[in-house]
Amino acid sequence: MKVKINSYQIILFILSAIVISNQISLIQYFAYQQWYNFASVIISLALFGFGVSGLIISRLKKETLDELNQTIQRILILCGFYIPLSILIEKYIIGSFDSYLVFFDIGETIKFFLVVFNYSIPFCLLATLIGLIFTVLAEKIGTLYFLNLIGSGLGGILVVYLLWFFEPQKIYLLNGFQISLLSLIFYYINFEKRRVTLLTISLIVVTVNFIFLFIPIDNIPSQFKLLSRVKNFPDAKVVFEKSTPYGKVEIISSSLLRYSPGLSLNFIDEIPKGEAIFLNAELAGFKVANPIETNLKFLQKSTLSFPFVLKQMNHVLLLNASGGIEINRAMINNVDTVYLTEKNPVLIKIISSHLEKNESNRIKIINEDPRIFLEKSKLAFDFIFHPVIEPVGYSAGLYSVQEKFLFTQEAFQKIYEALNENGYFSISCYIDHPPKTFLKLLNTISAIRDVAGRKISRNQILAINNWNVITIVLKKGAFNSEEIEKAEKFSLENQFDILMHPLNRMNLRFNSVIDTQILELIEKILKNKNGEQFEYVFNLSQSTDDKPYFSNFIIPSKLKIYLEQISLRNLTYSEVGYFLIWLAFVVVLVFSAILIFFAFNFIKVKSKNLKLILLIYFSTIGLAFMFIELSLIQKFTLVFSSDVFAISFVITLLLISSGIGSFFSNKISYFFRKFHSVFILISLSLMLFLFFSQQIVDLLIELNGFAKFFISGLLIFPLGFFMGMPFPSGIRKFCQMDINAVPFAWAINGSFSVMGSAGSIILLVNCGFIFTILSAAVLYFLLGIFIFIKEYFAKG
Amino acid sequence: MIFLFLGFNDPYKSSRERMVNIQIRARGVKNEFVLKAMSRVPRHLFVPKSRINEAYNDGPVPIGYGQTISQPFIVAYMTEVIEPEKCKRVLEIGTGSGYQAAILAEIVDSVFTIEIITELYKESKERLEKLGYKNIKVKNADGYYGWKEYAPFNAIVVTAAAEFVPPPLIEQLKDGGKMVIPVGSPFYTQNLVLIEKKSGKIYSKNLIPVRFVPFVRGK
Repeated sequence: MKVKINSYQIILFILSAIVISNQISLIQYFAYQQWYNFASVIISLALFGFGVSGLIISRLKKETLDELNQTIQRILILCGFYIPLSILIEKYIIGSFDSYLVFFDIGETIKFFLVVFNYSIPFCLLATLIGLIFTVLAEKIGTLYFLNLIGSGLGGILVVYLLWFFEPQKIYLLNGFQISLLSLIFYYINFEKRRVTLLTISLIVVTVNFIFLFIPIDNIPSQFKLLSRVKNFPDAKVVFEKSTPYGKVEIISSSLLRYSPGLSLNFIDEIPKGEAIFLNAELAGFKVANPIETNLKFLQKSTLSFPFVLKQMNHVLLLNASGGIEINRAMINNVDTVYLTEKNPVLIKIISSHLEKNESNRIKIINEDPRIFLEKSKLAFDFIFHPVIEPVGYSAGLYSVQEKFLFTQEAFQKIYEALNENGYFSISCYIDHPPKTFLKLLNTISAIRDVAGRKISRNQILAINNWNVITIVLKKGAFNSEEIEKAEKFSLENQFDILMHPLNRMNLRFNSVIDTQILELIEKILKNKNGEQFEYVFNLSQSTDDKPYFSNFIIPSKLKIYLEQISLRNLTYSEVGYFLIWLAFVVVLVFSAILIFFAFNFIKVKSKNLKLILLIYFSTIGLAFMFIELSLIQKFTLVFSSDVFAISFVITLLLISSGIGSFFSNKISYFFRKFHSVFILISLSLMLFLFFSQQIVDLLIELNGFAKFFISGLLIFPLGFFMGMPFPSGIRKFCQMDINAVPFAWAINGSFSVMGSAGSIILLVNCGFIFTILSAAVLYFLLGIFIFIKEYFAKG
Repeated sequence: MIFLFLGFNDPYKSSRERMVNIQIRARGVKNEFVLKAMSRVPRHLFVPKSRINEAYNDGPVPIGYGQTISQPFIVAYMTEVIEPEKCKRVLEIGTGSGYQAAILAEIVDSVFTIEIITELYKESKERLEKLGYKNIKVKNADGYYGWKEYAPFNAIVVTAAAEFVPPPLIEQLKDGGKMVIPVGSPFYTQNLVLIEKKSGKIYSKNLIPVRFVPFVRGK
């Protein structure tokens, strides 16, 4: 069979780009509609289409060139047709679902799986096309895999760029349009004999996709997201909206919007109205409508204003602007200069437009993630300030698998180091029940060490609370009597309580919101000098850069206690993010088992022994690749201070370097002579990377713009280069034995890649980055040993 | 105050009794006024038709617009803590389906309830009127300002987690009055906070419901 190789290669390249573009745009689409965790899980599950495609390929007609071309043409048409259809099916047939209810409302559970199934179909069709091309041109696998990975990489870059201009659903539809165009191009290149039906359908699909590009498709957030609830207010108006790779920014104006966390219960004046800023439908900040003409006195009657009472602050660093209201708080407290760090340029624009011209010389806005700024800056501050860390009414469980590099032990240490002598750091949070968040904050703060390496002492910590907010203040130095007197006076005036007193004179006069057992635990945390862990039903251990999941409070071994005391229903509501990753993993396991069963029974491969070897080989490389990819994404979220940038960068670079590796796999294997040596080399490079990972990350954080991308690229490239070799080498080796090995390997590799992606999130959250990378190194090493034994006996 | 015919041939009567006995009384709610009100008010008429089978379940039920009708125990407990038998006027912020207002109306003289979402306001007003509650006044307005014309109130029930307590509500609370606010997400009320006004000073305290048995802490 002689095929027009170039047209196949172009299709493969473009489709690979579209797969990644679909993946990232759908993650963003669902991150807006649901919560970020759910978005990743939905798309991880939808990628199961890759596993299923192997089974389909083995059943497709591809014996003659005409059959093959017709098959490819039909799948292209089907895929181009299904992409706009999938949006319509989700909107009008399945209906919107609420991931919040997925665990206990069977209707919502069914909708969840239908949505996953719906979006897995385009992935399945795309993967079938890619796998089909791999199968028929198996002898060119190095080049094909190279194109596949380079295409994927470029798709990753392109989608991030497009997200600045288009909403994710539009990008998804644009991909549908591209596929339909591709079907038309493929038709003209590959069909010498005209086929009117195929051409007509292709033209119809192109037209439909073109029309869809101009139809406004709304993405409506879950009714339980704050944006939806605010939009229900009678006079709510969207006054600004903009798509960004960080998420969609929206400003809502309503006469009902007011914001005043930590407010004193004896405040009797007016709280001004304002506008709320949302990022991906979650509250990102608040701005007072007209700060110049508004009485901002309410800002001084809050626990959050407490540090300003202690002394005149000259240089203040604001770690989260909260839309501008925290700048107002600093200004009303007569601060000399406020430095504000914010990574999203659109938010910066909003905040800047809110500031008065005469204030602009007092406010320095820095377009940088707060953590990165802390790492790079040589400035010292009188006061570093972080407002309330989570919106009220929501459990941290929604964010339990989201990396928060600003709340790690390392970040807090940096904050402390950036303080002037006798400077303050303050952070506030809502009081949850049973208490978790403030205890974890306190435990993380108490692990800070001074220049001499000593842990900070209790006379450096002071915390006050009202009925639902705690503000913790850490001083670089001991609190003196004057400060304590001011704190006591401020608390009394506002009917706050001093929950943590430097002289242990705790006074809970007005707010009995913390029970005595928790007070005892606070004491233990404050007195803990040796870094012992406390026996508590929730995980209070400091989150670290290795495990930056501040909002994950679950200890798996205490599940029995949780079930007895909170009930499964309440637990899944309050820690929904954590349980969702397990649900996804279980679903993936079940689907994988079914898929592997079908692959074993329906894809004919010469011998059972070969099947077993294929299973071991392609499952291991699928798992290990994903362990590394997801771990690198976690680490580079810190480097690039954005999950979307990290995902795009790591996927792009890893895939491009793997693509180049796969291209050279044939040639390089002459140098390595022994097949197993590639695996040993990957294990060793992983170990080396792990050994220097801290230094590498420190170095990368310090860098700017191009240098950061370039050096990151240099570091990932060798790893990806070698990781790209096992797949084409395996295909090449095993396809010599049996051509059916390709769809079988494709199905196994697809299933285990999805399993690896779900499994690596669980490993990262529970065991951390080092453990996950180590697991991948061990997997590659064991596979190397396995191949070595096979080679040895084969020779024998 | 409910039409008598509801008492007869009410297919949900036994579900309601089970709800009161298993979900409410067994968890420590002892106030007979509350228990009686909970066993009289037909909760199934306050949930969307599509979710009628969930009405007497031990959990909150979504009613649309991102709102829920609270878990029966939470409704009972919130009612019990304000000591309704001593109250003449109670203000509720967040009418929702109207269920909490109906429970209160069974015990107190007058209930004033405010709902900001127009659709929910219309539905609950119509529902409460149909059920014959003459002592409930419903208003479609911003709960922030309370209801000055009828202030002061013996008690204020806030039905959704709040970030801060609006100053007008504190002002409209009688001296010696109680305000209760839930803490948590729409589906998991983790706790209730009681705010009391005593001689001009405001005090708050946690009300740990019986089911949230304190965890084993410390060694």
